[in-house]
Amino acid sequence: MKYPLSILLVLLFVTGCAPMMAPVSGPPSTPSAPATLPDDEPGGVRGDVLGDVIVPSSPTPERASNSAVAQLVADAWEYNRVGEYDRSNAVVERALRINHTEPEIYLVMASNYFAMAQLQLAEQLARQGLPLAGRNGAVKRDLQRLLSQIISAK
Amino acid sequence: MAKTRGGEKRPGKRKGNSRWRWLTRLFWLSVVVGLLFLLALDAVVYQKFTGKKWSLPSHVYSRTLELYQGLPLSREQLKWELDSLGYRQVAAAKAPGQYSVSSRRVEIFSRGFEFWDGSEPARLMTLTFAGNSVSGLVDAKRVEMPLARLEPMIIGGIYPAQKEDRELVQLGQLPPALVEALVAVEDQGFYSHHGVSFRGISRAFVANVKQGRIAQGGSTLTQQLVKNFYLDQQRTLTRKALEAIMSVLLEIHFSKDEILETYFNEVYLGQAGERSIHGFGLASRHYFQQPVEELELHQIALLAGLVKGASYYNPWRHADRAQQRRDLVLDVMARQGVISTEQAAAAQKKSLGVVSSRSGGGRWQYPAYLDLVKRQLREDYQASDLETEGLRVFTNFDPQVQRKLERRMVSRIENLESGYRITAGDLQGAAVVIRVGAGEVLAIAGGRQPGYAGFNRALDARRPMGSTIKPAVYMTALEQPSLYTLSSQINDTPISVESENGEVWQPRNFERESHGQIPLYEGLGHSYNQATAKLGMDVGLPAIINTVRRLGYEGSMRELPSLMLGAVEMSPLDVAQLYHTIAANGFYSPLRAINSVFTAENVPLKRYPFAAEQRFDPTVMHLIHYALQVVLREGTGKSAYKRLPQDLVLAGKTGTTNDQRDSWFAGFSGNYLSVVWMGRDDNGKTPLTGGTGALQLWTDVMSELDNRSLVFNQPEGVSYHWVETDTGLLGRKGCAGSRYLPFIDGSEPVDKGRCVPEPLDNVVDWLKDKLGW
Repeated sequence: MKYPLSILLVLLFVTGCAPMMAPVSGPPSTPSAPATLPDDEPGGVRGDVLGDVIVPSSPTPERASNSAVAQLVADAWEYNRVGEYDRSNAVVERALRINHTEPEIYLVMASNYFAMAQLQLAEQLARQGLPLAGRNGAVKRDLQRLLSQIISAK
Repeated sequence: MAKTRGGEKRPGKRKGNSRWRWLTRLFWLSVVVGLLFLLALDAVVYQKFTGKKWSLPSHVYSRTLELYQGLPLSREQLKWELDSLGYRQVAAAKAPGQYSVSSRRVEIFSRGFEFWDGSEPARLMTLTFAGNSVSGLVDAKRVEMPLARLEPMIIGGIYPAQKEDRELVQLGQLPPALVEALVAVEDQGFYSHHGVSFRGISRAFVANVKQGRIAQGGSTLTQQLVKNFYLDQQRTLTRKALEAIMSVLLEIHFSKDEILETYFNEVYLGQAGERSIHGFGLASRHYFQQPVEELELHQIALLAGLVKGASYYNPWRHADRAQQRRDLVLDVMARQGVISTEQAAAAQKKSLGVVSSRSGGGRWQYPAYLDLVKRQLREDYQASDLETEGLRVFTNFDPQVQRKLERRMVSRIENLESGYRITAGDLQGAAVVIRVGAGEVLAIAGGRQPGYAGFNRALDARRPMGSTIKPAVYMTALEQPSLYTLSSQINDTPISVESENGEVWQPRNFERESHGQIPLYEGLGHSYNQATAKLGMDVGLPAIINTVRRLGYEGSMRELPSLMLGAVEMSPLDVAQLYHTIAANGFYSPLRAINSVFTAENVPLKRYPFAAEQRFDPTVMHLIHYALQVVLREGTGKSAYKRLPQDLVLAGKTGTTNDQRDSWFAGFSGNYLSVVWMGRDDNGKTPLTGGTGALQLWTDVMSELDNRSLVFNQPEGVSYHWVETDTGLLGRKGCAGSRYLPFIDGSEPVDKGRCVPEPLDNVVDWLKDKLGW
């Protein structure tokens, strides 16, 4: 009795992970559109359910991947260090044009505005950078730290 | 009566003395008046020359092109940019303003430029290409450079009523040959006379008598300057005398170099539409699209020759005349030893070298964008300052994007007119392209005709925005996660709403069908009117209006139920502002055309920095981004993926108004947002929907741009779950009807649907399957 019970438990485990309803046939596909008129508007036709075609993207790398952006961010930090905040912002905005998803760009701008006592804008920019900074990493920590400083200064 | 010698009056002598006395008095009076007049004249001459000499129009510049490894720019696109900036293609670039091209490389000797954040030196650099992007950037020593930039191009100006345009140059900037050429042909004795040359006048007089007509002028350069700078163009003896006196006065007060420099900036040298081209600085750009410093001998001779009559010797209209005049100038220069005869002969063999009349001599090419620049400038500057202070306005205008937009606009509208049998010329369009994140306006098409300076539909055509408003309705709902999620079941069934005035509003779906209960994301994805109206009535009109406001619309909105389906009139730029807030993850940034403003003396005046304000939570934005991706993957915008890469993540929304009078599409990738409107100026019906009209042009434009996928990172506070779309209950991967949907934490369904089996069910089903029951 002990042996069949073990088999039953294994089977129970295996079948618990298997789909019991009719599976979607084949991989998710993009529905083909009519050849002439591309779609109906505004009603549209309810197409196939695509399952998980729309999925979140991978987090942005922690540090600037583009060498031009990295250079501009480094230059902007230099200007920040010597107190040339407006020039620092002008430089880092060039990086923003190249890739606005680099979180360190927002860290530089927020730091500049914080130094210029423009706390409201500094806070907003820090908040804008945070979701781009991934789940961990130095930039995220710096953004969080700066945000705390800004909030306590307000 | 005159007295006699013995005391009698001597009438004749007394009379003569009196007359003499009066004459003497008159003489001295004349002298005094003359002196006073001279003093007054002197003051006029002095004050105008030392004061602000000219009202300078403001000049508007494009964005600067940043060059770096990985830049999506083909060799041909770079070549176009360089040609537009007036760079000359040579065998080997050796001086600023030159470039050379080989199969995989472009070598550039850039011009230096003063930017807000510092100066960019003139330098030699080499770019290598792999496909349509820059694969390498090195300096003259072959050392890798992280980045470099080219100077921006002038795209327009802001002029006073008389539209006199000039670009000031200093004498030191001018090529010595230009100064020598001008003196040689216009006033050989310039450095020796004192304003008036009697020798020159005599020579001209003799020549004119011999020829029996006015063939030669005797005016010196100083006199010409006085005539143009102080006097009118009348040809009277009085004016001529005045001109001579003032010329002498000018020479008393000012050096030859000062007079010459003013002459070089004052002289009329051509016409560009309503704009008159003054001075050699602007003339050089007008005819050759080059700074005057870079001109070669044959170009210098042409400009110097134009002084005699810019219209008569117009190189575009009268090329032969212009060439004869240029060659004559070269001959004169050679005769006077300014250049050698060999140099003259070599220059005479060259073509005139002027740019095409469209790019150089025509009107400004981008009036729709300039329109926006002027409007934004007027928020900070008086119109008179803009027209007279010579401000240098640097913008975010991207000529490459504009070029693509215009080209596609023309071809798509023509294609739609022929495909849908619309009377040729009836269909109009407008579009804007924005850089996502930075909020910079890159390009604007104000109509179907590129370069048309009339009604700017992108800014001024306020049309009902139709279903492009729907994201605001769904965002309002999704901001209440305890009530609404993407899987919430909403009713797409007939609805009647009675307004305050008793009118009944009964929206219908486009295909006149209802779909019953549908998940919320489908309502937006397929743009169902009934479902949206029901949802909108549930969340409330004031809340929706508030959402539209937070998205960035500042115009008026009436609290009517039809607002939920887009009965609010907006321009394409207004819609772009709303969608930029969506594209920028809920952060509102005012759309900016202007980057910075410098004074005429190149002193930084004002910068228009990036600013942002969080208006929506990232969790809500993630959900709406999901639903807007559904539009393009499965819904009313799905035809876009027939021509765009499947792996490119895009989001957007179609819009069609009643009777298909307006066709809209607003959508974005990770780096570009574009909004397109199509319709008729008379608000007539069209056969187009948002999907068949505006979306097609949107796809055209996006297919030309280097798009990056929308960043669709899962923010904190959002988790994904498999959900049955027809019940809203928990589902499971692989089950038909199950979908992987994002939820704001705590809002995900907890009840299991039919897809999620109970453990015992699994066993029973397995046994049934095995035993064949």
